[in-house]
Amino acid sequence: MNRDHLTIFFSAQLCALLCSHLGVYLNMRRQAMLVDVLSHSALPGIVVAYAVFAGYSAIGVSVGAAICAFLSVIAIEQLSSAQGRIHRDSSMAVVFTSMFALGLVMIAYFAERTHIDIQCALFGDLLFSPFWGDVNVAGFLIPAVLLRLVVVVGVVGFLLRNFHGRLIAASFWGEAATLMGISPRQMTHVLAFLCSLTVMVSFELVGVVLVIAFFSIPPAFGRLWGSSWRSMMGLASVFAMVTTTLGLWVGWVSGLNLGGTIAVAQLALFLLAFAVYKLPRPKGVARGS
Amino acid sequence: MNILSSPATFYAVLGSVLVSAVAALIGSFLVLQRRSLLVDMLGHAVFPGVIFGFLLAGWQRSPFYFFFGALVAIAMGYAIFTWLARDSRVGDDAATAIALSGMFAIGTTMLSRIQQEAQGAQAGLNTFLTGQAALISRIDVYVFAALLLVVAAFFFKNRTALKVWAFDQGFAQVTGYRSRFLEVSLYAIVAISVFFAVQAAGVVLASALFVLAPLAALLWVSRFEALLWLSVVVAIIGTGIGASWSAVDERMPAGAAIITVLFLIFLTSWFFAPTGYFKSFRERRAARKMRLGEDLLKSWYYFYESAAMPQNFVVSWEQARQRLGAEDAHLNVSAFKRSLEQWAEYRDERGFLLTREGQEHAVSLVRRHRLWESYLVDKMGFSPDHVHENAEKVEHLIGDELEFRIESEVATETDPHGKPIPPKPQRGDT
Repeated sequence: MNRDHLTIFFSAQLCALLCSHLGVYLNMRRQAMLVDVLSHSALPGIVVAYAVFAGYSAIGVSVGAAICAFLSVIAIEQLSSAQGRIHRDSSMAVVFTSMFALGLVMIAYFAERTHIDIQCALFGDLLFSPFWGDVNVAGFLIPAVLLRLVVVVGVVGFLLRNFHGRLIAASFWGEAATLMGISPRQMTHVLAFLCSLTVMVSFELVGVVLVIAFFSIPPAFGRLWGSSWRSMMGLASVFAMVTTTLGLWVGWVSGLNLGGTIAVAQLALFLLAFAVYKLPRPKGVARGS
Repeated sequence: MNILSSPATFYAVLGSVLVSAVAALIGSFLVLQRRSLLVDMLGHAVFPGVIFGFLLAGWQRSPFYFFFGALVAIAMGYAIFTWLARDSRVGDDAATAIALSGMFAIGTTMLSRIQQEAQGAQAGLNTFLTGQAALISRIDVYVFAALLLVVAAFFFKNRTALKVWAFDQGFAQVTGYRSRFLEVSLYAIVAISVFFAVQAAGVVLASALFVLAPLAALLWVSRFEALLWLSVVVAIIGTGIGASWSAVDERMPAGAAIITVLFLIFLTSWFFAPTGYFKSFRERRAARKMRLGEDLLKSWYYFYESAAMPQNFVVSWEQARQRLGAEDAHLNVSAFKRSLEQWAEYRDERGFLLTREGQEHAVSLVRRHRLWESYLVDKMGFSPDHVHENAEKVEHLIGDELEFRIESEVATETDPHGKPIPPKPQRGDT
């Protein structure tokens, strides 16, 4: 167990906790697939950031992706609101595929300036996280990946502290929220911004698709057994930490892709939990709540 | 440059068009069922399936084993999805996300196992994610053409059942249109088509093939058969243009070019179709203008009724503004002037003078408002202080016939607030 192992362990845990935390909001709003949209539609923003900064830049990529996330959320609202024929699902499918195609077109035309490896962007790898180097903070050498994660956790945590009540009100009772002067649309945008920030810092670790597992599976577990916001959040966090530890252990022992083993552990444990949840139970025992 | 000069590009274009037509047919049905994101999920399951096929074939690339493995994986993904989605605590969206990312994770893990024993044979297994339309061969084209025939025949034979099922699942269940056999055969066809679409366009862009053409068609037509025909036509045209673009410009990946063209067709439809943005925007603007104009007419009536009418019958905008509701009162004078163009004989910065038709319309609006209030109180048992808000909305919608019927129901000269209901204005009598 050397320093690189610890770096990978802590960045995986932080990433899983952050994703599952925001995932609870998405799960309760029935918007689990929003992460899929945000992670795929970030591609044009990433390409532009690569072209502008002539290579990789953490801030450039985050800003580009956040702008794309914002545009996608607006586009989804617009496409499905103007008339009744385009359902929300459909407008999500249209937006993320078209943004992704736009990203591919941009790569095709600016390929010589961007040097993006599309496979790398799609998969990500936890193993490489220690190679991002160290940053000197007040005399201590801290791995850059951990520092970025901690900054994002700080930003997300600070904004959630401020917005939690309003987010809940807007999610569960839009009319009441509007009467209290909270705009449900604005809250949707805040949540989308937080998610895109988290997706950006996570997808370089676990890839564009597996980040969806991190966002959706632990909250779904919490939803099965939890009976309040607090218990759901707690269960999701414990589930995320247990499966991350399990996945990392399996991945290390067998040398498999670490993000993959974590997500497979999440899927396997969730399916097991769901089977147990579905078992017929004796009369008088309430399920979940 | 003749794009059909080389057989390779000819097969690439023709193959893409055929796959896209299949996807459009099936997609029309899925979009109506609100399962637009299902193909995204099934497409991601193709990835572990192909790797499973690779292992099954003894670490070799074999189209048959790829196909077999993909079908197994798609069935598994679909089974996980339906099992989870049936429970309301999980729900459709979370079940989709879990099945999608979970199946993909299995693929990622298996791929990393294969890559440990690098033999070179695994190279390009993950090109399945971005598609490889350029590799479509003559045999593929035959396979795609056969698939299109099978899917078209299936849709033709089961068109009634599919129509009922697409629009009303409960009714389809009760009437026996939604049989187990139909569902299994439909989703077998979906799985096969998803596999070929992913092979041609890649995972992400395959789901676009299934939704873009049907959604563009959905904005133009209202009948199921018309939707199927039009979406196939849109898919063929869009894919033909996109694939040719990519054949001419070798920097352009085929999948991205096709999706870009299809998206532009969709966006154009979204703006200009009969149910599109501009039409509904114009309608909403016209409705707003009409409501504002009628509210100004009512404010005119207030001055007329209360004998506060200025000598020259010109009501100033400021006077009228004070009688308007909160949503209209902040509007500027030019909006007021525009909304009255039909009713005013004279309007300038100071105020407006109504024509005879305008005055008659004002009277009939107030009459309808008060008739409706009386009806709500007398016949529907509403309390008098709860009817005004509703009448404010309904007065704009009541026509001559409804007005006549309400009048014959309520026998009263005054509304619930004691104000007189003005008589129906006679033509040419003021």
